[in-house]
Amino acid sequence: MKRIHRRDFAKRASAAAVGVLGFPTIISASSLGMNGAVAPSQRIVMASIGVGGQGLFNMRAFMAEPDVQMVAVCDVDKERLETARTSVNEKYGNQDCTIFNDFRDLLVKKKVDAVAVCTADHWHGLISIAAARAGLDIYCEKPLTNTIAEGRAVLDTVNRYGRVLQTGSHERSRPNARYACELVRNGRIGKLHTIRVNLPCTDRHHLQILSDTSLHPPMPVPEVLDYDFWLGHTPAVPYTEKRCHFWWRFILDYGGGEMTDRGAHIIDLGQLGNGTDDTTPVELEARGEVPPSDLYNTFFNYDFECLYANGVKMIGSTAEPRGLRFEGTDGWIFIHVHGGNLEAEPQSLLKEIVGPNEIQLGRSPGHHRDFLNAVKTRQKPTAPAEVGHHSGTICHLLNIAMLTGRKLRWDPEKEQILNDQTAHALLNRPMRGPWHL
Amino acid sequence: MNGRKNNVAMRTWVVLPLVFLVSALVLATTQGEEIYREMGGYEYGQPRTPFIALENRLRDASASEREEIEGRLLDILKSPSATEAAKHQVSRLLALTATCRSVPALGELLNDEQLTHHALFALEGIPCPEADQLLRERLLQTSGNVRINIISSLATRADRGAVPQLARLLRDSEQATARAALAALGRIGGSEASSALEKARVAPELEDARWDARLASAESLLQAGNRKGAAAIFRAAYKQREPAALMAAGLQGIVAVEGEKALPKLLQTLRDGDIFMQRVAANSLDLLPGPKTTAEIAGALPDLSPSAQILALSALERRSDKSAEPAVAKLVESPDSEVRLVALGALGKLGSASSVPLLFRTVRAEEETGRMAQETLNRLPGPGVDENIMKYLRESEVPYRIAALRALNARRYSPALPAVMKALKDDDSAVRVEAWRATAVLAGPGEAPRLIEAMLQAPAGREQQAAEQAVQAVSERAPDPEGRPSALLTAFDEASPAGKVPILRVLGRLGDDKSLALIRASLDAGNAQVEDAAIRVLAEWPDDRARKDLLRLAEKAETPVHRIVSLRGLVRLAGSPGLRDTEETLTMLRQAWDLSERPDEKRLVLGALGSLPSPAALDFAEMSLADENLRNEAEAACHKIAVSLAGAHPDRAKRSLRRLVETSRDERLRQQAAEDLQSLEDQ
Repeated sequence: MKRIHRRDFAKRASAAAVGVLGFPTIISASSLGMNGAVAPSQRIVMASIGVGGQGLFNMRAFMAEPDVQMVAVCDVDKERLETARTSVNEKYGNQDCTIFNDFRDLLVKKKVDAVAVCTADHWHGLISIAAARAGLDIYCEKPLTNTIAEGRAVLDTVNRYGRVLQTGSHERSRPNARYACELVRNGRIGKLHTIRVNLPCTDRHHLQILSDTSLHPPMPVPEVLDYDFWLGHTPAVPYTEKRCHFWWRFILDYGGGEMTDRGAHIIDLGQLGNGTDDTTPVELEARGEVPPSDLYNTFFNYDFECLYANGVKMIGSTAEPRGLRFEGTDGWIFIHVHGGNLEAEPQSLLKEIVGPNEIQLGRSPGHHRDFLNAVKTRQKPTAPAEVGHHSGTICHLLNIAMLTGRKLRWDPEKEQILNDQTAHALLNRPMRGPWHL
Repeated sequence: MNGRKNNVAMRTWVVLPLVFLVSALVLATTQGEEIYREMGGYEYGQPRTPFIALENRLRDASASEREEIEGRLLDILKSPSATEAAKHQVSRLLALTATCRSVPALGELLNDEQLTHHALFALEGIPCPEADQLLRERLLQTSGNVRINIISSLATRADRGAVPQLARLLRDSEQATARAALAALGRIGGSEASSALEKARVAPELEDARWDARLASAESLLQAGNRKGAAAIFRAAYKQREPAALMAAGLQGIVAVEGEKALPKLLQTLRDGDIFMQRVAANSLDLLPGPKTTAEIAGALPDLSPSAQILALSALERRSDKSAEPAVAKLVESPDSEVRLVALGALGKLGSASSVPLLFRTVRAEEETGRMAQETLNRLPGPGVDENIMKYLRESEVPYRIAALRALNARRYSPALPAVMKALKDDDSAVRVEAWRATAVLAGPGEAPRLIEAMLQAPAGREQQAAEQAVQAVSERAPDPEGRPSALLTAFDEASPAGKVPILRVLGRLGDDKSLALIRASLDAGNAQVEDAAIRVLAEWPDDRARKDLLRLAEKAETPVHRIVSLRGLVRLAGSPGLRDTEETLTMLRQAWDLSERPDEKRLVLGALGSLPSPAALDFAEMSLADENLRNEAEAACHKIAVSLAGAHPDRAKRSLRRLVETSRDERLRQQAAEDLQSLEDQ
């Protein structure tokens, strides 16, 4: 099988924005569009695609911004669609919100500047690609995609059409997290040698899966759900309730388990602190266990280790508390996820001030606001497509390492697994027609 | 690899290893035959145990074992009695082990729509020419979604040998097929695919897909060094003008190929284009490095609309070329507030010492702009900036002096310390507060005696508070922990009773043994003011060393106020359960409860109880459910404790939640308790 090649053109566009030209604008205390009346040219017309729990949250966060006008919502679940429509209409005091079952109709029929893509993970890629081709800017929930091949396709398409994409890895918008990463990047813990990632599976929903020994037989599809559309490009399998809303994240066809669910936050912060947003590790090794379920097949109880070209190791497990610890020759800093509380040794590290002539990572005015500012200025947002793709790639590679049980040697530039053809083939999953990349 | 450090409930980790062990044993014995038979009859919704076991086995299998497993899986695939669900699962396992040997059997599945998709999970990754050959053959023999699936796999395999066949499919009567073929040719790339895409005549509905594929192929041509071929495609896309996204992609491509020659086109678009194309032009400027482009963008700034100015300013900031500083600085005084903000942001990267006067002037502007100007001052890089900022400490205007102190604080510019400490005696109170804040950051422990002296003279209120915080910060900076309170202890001896009060407060925050000893001694100082301060400081003490003192004072302090302050301090201490085990915390809270004479303090005790995951704490909290004065707090505590007991004491937790559901008058709590109870019942 031939390798997936990174296109020079896309690479230039991407590097121009992050690696070469430095960090995005800092409009930390201020926010464009916050100054009362918003001129029509500065108004951002938006639609929300996927309006379940997180989708509704994101939609409301965008609607709270004065320069956003939400005009349409899209979902394959009629109940969710109705809830979202009601929420939009109540916000604006009218009945103008348009609803769509099919995102393609929305992209053709509704004139919008940007979309929020908050579907199940397996839909992120195709919808983001379609939105970029339609000339829209995109806020896409994390992980950016459900496979590395989809991630590469999203990144190429976003760059091809000059679009802004913000990945929903909002933990990197927390001031504390950025401060901690600045301390690491400026050598306050000495030379960074290890990033210890704690990615526990102890939430109630994890425990429910791990202790669930019941079977999930096929069930009639609820009338409100367009199930075939929900499945989309994934294999045609019978409906059962616990396959879909929320629980999909623990089935590999639709999500990557905790590795991508919270990994897309914690590993993502590891990338930021390590200064490797523009690359990925060169070696990855992982072991994990799949629950004894007829339905769920993502990994729980895992250990992993990644080696970066700069010599830093990222070592992870299901240990608690959730977060990550940057370990250097002179100390360590722990970032709690979620919440962003910090611990450090020595504690005095947390009183350090990063000076104007040191590496500054900027502060985000909030992940949603940051996206809107980027739409207007074309600065790279806090978690642009390349950042989402690289963090997602690490999570997916670790899942592939667990699936195959092999240590992977990875070429971050060419995006190839060098030592294992079988593992390399897992960078992509065939799509069920008529869907395709 | 590190050992596991997992805290997941034990029952979980009893189940998983057992399943793996049993599965492995089963596979390792002659019963393996039975397992493979079971796999063939698998239906969705049945246990996946044999598939999980085989997947685990494959991870550590030797080459010969893998070969054997592949053979067994192929037998199932070929079996007429095997279900579709089984073939789906088997294909996914084959994706982890299939070799060229599997190609024929997988090829047999490339007829049926569902089975084709399943088979391609394994077939797509098999690295041998037979797989390419098979896919190309099937391309000619299939239709509909089966063919689309095959087209996608050929694209994933980047099979240039399939280009002629894919090109023929561009005229296919099935639009979905033609669309998939267009995408595949774009993904495969190269001159042959590019040529096919250029010549293709497709239905109007497919034009967007054709152009996307052409753009992708242009990128591959550029990568291969064929700039001319790529440029032709990008120019053609740009000329289309509709849809705007296509024009945008064309413009970006032109810039990528032509470099600086494309600059006039970009600047013209910034001047005359609509907002969509302006944004694309701004993006594309990033592809043109070098000072000439910077100068051109800077020169164009005055003639642009505000929205284009925002875009151009951002582009200049990304370039980090300081030659743009004068042009950017001019827009700091733009009448458009958003332009001002972005110009200030850009100046934070492009500015230098010469930007300092402008930023000070702007700090006095309206709220948002002023705040942004301060932020820019705080992070303005380069030589001479700090020295220029210091000059504003001598300005007669108060806002300038405040801005200078804030900037020197944020910039941690320690040479400014003498001037900053001089500002502690400024005529203006707000300046003095900022000076204290800057001193807290800039001063070292050697300055402690002088600062304590100044603190004792600071007026009450904000200034006193800032002074105490500064003295604390400076004291804590002493390298030797033993030495941290030294200057304060010395000053205490010489201070008046009123002066001892702030010293005690700072000592309380330092929290070391020497400070504690002095605070204890001050409880009997013979001066009401000092004794009052000592009690209040103890009530805020950070750890259990003050526990006995507080208990004693809560019982026996002379005034009711001091008894209440001490009692509240005791409860606050108990509210940090990490300091001791649960049983001991409960004892503390019982003591506090017994000493509480008013509902206010009892409510505090109930609040602290909520953090204790203990059945005894729950019993304790439930005792107050019948007290109308305490009912709300008792219910909240019961709920919190019950939830925390769900794992270790599920029956006790359920009992308490049930009681809340049945008796609480708080609808939200009742609902939450009902939900928690339900999920406990479900487990």
